[in-house]
Amino acid sequence: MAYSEKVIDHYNNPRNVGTLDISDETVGTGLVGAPECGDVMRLQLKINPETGVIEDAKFKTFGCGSAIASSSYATELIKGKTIEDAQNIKNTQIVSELNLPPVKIHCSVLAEDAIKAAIDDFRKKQAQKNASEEVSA
Amino acid sequence: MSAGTPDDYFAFMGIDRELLIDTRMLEQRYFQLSRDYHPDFHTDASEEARQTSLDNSSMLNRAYHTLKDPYDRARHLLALESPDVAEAQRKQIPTSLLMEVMEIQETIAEARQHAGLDADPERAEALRGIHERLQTKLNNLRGDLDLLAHEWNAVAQQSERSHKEPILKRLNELLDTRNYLRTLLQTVEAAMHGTPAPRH
Repeated sequence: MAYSEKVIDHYNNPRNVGTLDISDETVGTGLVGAPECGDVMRLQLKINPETGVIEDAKFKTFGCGSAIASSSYATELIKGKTIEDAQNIKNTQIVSELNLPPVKIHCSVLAEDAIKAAIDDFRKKQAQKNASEEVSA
Repeated sequence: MSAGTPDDYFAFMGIDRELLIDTRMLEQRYFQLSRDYHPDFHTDASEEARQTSLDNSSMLNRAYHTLKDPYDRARHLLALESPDVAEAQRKQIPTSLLMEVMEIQETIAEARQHAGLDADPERAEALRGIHERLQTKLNNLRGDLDLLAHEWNAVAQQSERSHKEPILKRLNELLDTRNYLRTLLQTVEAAMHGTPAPRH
């Protein structure tokens, strides 16, 4: 299958590969997978709790070129955005940016799921933190 | 095959929609139907009838090979019984499984990076250990599948969905786990042999 130039570029030079401190209260981690193809994708966002702005994003994906490119592009897309804006990102944006063929659309869905999962995780952590602060206050 | 409703291979082969099947009977049906549908026996028939026999022959081969393999049979049953379950469950893959897959992938990737500085028996040993662990897990899945197959056969003829759904869900999870384990096994084998990681 022929990949688009953009997919190949992201695959060869993935942006923002790496990890953030999972125990950091301002880091949300999303771990998602596509069992049909055995792919796993981990997306981590460092979010400013005051402003809700995503200050950093890192990913690690084991999977096909499209899955790697989708998550790489997703990190570029969401850095600097507020979590509200990031939540509204649709997989179709990734599809059109990377020219993903129909058989690879699920890779972009995976990236969208990862963004949502990471934000959910951040919110959960913040809620827990606030709850424990109230208890101790 | 159309995207919406898959062909029912169980019905096509004339066997019950069960997971534990008599494979000898399946084979007999296959041979019987092969004769019935064989295009050579329909050379005098109309164009339409010949096309039908050709279609049936190719479907017969797909049906037989799908039902013969216990995992493919389970996957097919799931597609027929619960076409939405796979999609609905995609977001509910157990986190523990994803974490384990991620961890093993990272270990393999790390071992690969250092592969150039060969003569690292520790990493080679680590890869062998992972390989063995994955192989054991895959082997154990077969026993789990057999247990689920027994459970399914006990309720297969009932119309009550509430008895079936939990089994179908567990079946889906088992097949997902197997996909992951197989991908990992291929990846670790490639790392052990120093060949590129499998891509798809």
